[in-house]
Amino acid sequence: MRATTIGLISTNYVHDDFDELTESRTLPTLMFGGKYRLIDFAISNMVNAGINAVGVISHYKYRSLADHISNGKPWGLARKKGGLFMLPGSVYASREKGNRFLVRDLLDNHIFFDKEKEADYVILCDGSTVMNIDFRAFIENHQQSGDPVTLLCKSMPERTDGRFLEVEDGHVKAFSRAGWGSDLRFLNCMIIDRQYLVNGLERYGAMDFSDLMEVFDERIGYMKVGYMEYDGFVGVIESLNDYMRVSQKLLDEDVRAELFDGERKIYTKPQDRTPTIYRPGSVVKNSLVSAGCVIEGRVENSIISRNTYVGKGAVVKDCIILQKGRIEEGAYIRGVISDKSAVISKGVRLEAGADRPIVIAKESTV
Amino acid sequence: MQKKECIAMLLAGGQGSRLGLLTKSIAKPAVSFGGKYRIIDFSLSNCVNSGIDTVGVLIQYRPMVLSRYLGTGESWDLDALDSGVYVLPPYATESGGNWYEGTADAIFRNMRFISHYDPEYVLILSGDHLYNMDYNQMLEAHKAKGADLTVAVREVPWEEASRFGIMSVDGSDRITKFAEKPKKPESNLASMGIYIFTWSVLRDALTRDNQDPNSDKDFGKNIIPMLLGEGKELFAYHFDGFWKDVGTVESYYDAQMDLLSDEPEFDIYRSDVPIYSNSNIYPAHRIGPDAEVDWAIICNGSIIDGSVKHSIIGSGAVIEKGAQIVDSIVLPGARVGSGSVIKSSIVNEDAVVAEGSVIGGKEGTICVIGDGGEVAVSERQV
Repeated sequence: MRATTIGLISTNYVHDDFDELTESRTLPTLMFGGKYRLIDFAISNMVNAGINAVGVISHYKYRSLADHISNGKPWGLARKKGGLFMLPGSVYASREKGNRFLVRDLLDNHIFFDKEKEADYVILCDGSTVMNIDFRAFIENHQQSGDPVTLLCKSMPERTDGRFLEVEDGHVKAFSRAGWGSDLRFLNCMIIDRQYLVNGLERYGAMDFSDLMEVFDERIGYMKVGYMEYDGFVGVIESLNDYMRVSQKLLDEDVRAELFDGERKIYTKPQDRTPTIYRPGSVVKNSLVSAGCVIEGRVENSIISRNTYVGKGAVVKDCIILQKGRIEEGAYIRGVISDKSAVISKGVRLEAGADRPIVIAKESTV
Repeated sequence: MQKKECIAMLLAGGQGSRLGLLTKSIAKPAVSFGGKYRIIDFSLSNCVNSGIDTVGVLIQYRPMVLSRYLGTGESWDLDALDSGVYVLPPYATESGGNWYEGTADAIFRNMRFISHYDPEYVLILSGDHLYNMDYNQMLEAHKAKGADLTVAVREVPWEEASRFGIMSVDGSDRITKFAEKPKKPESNLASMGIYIFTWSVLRDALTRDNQDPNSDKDFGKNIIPMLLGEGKELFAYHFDGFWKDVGTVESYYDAQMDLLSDEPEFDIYRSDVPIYSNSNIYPAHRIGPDAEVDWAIICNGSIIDGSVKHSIIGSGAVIEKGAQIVDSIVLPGARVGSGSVIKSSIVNEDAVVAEGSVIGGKEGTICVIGDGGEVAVSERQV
């Protein structure tokens, strides 16, 4: 019989480094690329590999998550067999950087693994990594290795955070930090034999306050953990600067095309906006613009989300404008990330320094 | 299932032959409009926005794109419990089968579909018109007058009246006379091809008309004159908002280019009555570093590396480097090769324009570039 895989996505982790952007939402529901939310990549990757049962561990600020994923219909997951399952996460989200999967969240939701008991494998990943990966190849790789766990990683010598894999003879021997030797960064994504995970969770029930990765840290010497290096584009988003950098990467045509134009589509909740209109006199260079916008001013090197207005004489440079933004006549903004429905008033000038973007909070006016 | 007060039957089988290359492989209601819509989106959205949740779609000419597009109806929110979009093609019976012979025949042969819902009223629509209308108001008028049939009408310029079904009405909007495409019109109130029938009256009329071997089985030619002759309660319902039947390449082109104006006649931007469509899988569009965009409507999924002036670029269309698009409409999925110059033209869906092509721009003409690369030139009527 063909092996079956189920998916589990955690959104129950906290980052303090996003200013107001994560004040009312979990990082995976932050908008990305003008019309998506970060979690769209994780869910789409799963359904594109034929996975038809996907659990999403929620975060205590789950309103935006519930609103966005609902019953999974946009991803074809409103199903009789399988489907999308919202699994309640504990109120104590993973806080340690690089941690994603609370053992408690996995234990409390063991019903998901029980219900999908025909599944051989579970792909476990976070909801904020930007990539369009062929999980079929990942599953095949895992199946052929015979290892109970395979971690996904990528050579990323530029990263200074997260877990790095020390490997030997095709297996992970230890985890290390950036600069300690290995440049294979763990992408917060693994495939694990379902039964192995269930058995392990029973054994580590007493450690339910810790993160699955902390269990791995401790037990890695006794486990047979394989790894697969991913060679596609990966956008790791651990900070505001990451968010800006990865968003700007979309302006690189190769990256944009890899993420959005291949056979594997990225799906999101549909919004039915009218097309965007550029009025006479507007100037737009090197930008991504979503539907429903009215552009009268100048836009350069920016990501403009749906229903944004850029007034006459306004200049938007190196910015990310989230949905329903309003940049009024003659305003000048550079290096700004403006959250949903933020207003930049007439003639206002805002320019970020090179080290960090300026964030304009949701529904605020400057 | 709960009984329905009113269901809609949407006639979508027409070829729209005057649109030439644009309807060579798809039916007119499936033709792209405004970059991301198909013409049928407007009547389907009107249904949803008017609270009519059950729509039978009568298909016949080249239905593949249309049927696929409609899917389960979820894009228009028409997949709620007890509601839906149902594609109704001509079918065979134990005594054989044939095509729908006329608009009335198409409805006659689907009377069992209507009976299934046992509605009080049936709304008959055409799937190839552009307009934004609240059918509820028309239904209220139909009920208030105790009508058997209400026909939506609008004033048209006198010189165009002979192209339409023309009504004469009295002071209470009772229809006193009806003439299909009259040479010498007595009125300039034109039928918009939108009818509300009391179901029992429609059922009876269709049944009798079907027994008449000389009938063309057409609402305008046969059903309306028959009911009028019998002294039934026929009323006109005035609609003065935007309405257009884009029958020709010229009117199709003009209606879309008007969307670029400051206050377009056809206001697709109203937020209270959104227009739904099944075209939402595209990412945001990309405007390249060397692109020039001046006065344009651009849809999701398109890639602009060339120059776009006073034009509409549909979903997923690609304008390569150095290409110039002027006063033109590039339909979804089309690609215009680098260095091409396209003026006053319509590039059909999925068409590929080879590098360095120079097409259109002769005054008084509109070029249509087909999906096989062929070019048809239409002269504007002066």
